Amino acid sequence: MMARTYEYGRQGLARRMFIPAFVLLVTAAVSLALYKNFWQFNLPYVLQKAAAFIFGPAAFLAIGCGAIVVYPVCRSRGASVAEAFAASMITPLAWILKEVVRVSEFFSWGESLYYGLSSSLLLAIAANIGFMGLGEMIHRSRLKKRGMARAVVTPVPIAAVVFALAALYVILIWGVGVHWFYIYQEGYKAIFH
Amino acid sequence: MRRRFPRGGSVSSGRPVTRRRALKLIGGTLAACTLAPGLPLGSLQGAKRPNVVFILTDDHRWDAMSNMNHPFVQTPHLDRLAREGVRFNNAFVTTSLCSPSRASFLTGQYAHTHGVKNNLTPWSDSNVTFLEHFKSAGYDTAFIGKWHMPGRLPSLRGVDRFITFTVQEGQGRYFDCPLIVDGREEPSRKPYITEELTDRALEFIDSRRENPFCLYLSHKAIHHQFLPPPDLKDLYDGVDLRLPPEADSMISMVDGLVVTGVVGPLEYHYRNYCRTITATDREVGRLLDSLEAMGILDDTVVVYAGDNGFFWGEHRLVDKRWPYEEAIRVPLIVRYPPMTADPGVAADQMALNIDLAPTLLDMAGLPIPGSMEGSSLAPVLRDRSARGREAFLYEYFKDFPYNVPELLAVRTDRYKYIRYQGRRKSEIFDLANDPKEMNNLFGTPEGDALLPELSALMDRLAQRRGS
Repeated sequence: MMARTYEYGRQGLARRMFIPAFVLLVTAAVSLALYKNFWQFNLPYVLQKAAAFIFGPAAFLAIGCGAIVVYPVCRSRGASVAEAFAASMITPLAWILKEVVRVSEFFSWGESLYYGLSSSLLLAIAANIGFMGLGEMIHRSRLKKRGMARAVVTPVPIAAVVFALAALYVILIWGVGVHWFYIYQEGYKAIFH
Repeated sequence: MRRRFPRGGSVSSGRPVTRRRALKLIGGTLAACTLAPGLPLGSLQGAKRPNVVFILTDDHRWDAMSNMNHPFVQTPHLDRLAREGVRFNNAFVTTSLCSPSRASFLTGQYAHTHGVKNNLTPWSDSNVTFLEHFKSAGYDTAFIGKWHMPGRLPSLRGVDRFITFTVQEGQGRYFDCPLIVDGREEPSRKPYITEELTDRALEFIDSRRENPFCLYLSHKAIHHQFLPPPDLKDLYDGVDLRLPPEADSMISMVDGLVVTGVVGPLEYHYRNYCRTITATDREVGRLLDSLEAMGILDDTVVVYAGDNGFFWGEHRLVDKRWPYEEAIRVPLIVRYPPMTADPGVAADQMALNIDLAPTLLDMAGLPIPGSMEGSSLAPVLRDRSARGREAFLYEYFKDFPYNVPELLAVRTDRYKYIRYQGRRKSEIFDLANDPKEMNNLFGTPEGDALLPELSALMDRLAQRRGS
């Protein structure tokens, strides 16, 4: 008999995939909009700074780390790995799409698409993949407590975490991000010059 | 076949020149120069020509000096320069980006003329630097420091000593930066790059010579990653940074600003930026003290400038490029007592990076080539009420992946008009009533009234750009 990989029964597609993804997307969009525009409300300085310190990190966490919440929630509602993966990726991909459209003001569409591979955008994807690996292990540990799963740590989720850490190192830590930036720039010159 | 010259003469157009003819030629030339107004006579009359030391720093904004009443940054040596020379309160760059601005300092030309439009378009060897003109006039010349222009390292004409670096795409490293000394790689002898470059500059200045010298000393500092030397790493700890009200710690993380490299809390980077300024000032002081100890300080034109400004949260921006005041204003201080009336009295005329080359040539009594688009600031040094320019053109070209549109701007004493390429709305600012440029007048009745004149002015100034 196949082991169940969800805790509370397999729920409908909306509940097991779209609602968690949508909640994260709205959280990210609202936080980002408030963070970027709150300063224009001419509120007292302290209030303005407090808002920045709430909405800035909220947007950052929703976009860069949202999978740590969305993925295990989807899985616990009966989503398959593919469904949970897709749900977790909606917010970072939407953000990347928004950025590509935004920079099309400055660059050609080809360049704007290449911009989609820039450091922070790639990091958002890589980080969410790593958090999905963590999320899968969190999900399995919950199942294990109920006697519904055997192994918590397996190669695939570990590989996802290692991939994210490697990307973090190469993109952000190696030469404080400078080396990766120049590699990225060389790619740009090779394609567009 | 080897050509034989007649004894006691030289050759001009294949015709032997006798002593009498030579004297006639010299006499005639001197007379012509005396009668021709505007021709420099210094060298011909045997007047002592000044040495030149031009110090260029990177990303040093105009107000980050104690002589500009910065709330906490200490720059005692730049203050001395300003006290004993002339600080230009309204100094600007014509493109607020390292490579184009550096090429403009060197050539006296706009980016659309010298061709280094951004950090990707290469330097052309057909460009002529002011160092080449000084060399032709008999100067010993050196380029020491940051070259950082796209393309291969040039074999720079008219330069006796060429010390630079190529690591990190020419940006160099703050610590243990390998140097390229006249084409050969050498390790840095001092760990901190600003100290190393100052040492190299002092070696050049102190070498035995019969000619005057012209030194271009171009620091990596104060560019990102804004790293001070270890002994200054705690400087300004705990001071109130007074960042602008629209700024917060995380603004460099949104709207593509992360590509500027300023990743993490803004306060952390700004504090390091200020420390690095003080570290650079200390090296300026070491250079001034050495010139003084050698007894040549007052025979030397010393110029300090920045290649562009920097946003620290103003307009919710970091970095430069945009045509707002924080990015286009630079420090510019000139010290040369023999040519300076009223030392310590600042100049309010608008000065540009493209003015440097003609100014240095003019101060050395050398002709200013017609290809230079800037104007000499020497008249302002002699007379602080001399007439200055009424407006200038600012240009910015696309520089992927930085999120700034191509644009043209015109700045007058009072107004700024910015015309963006693409879908962004134009901007007009009244700098007298709105110095922070927060209130765009474009599309308002006031802006509509200003637009025709500003637009015509821009078109006139941009005429030379061609297509």
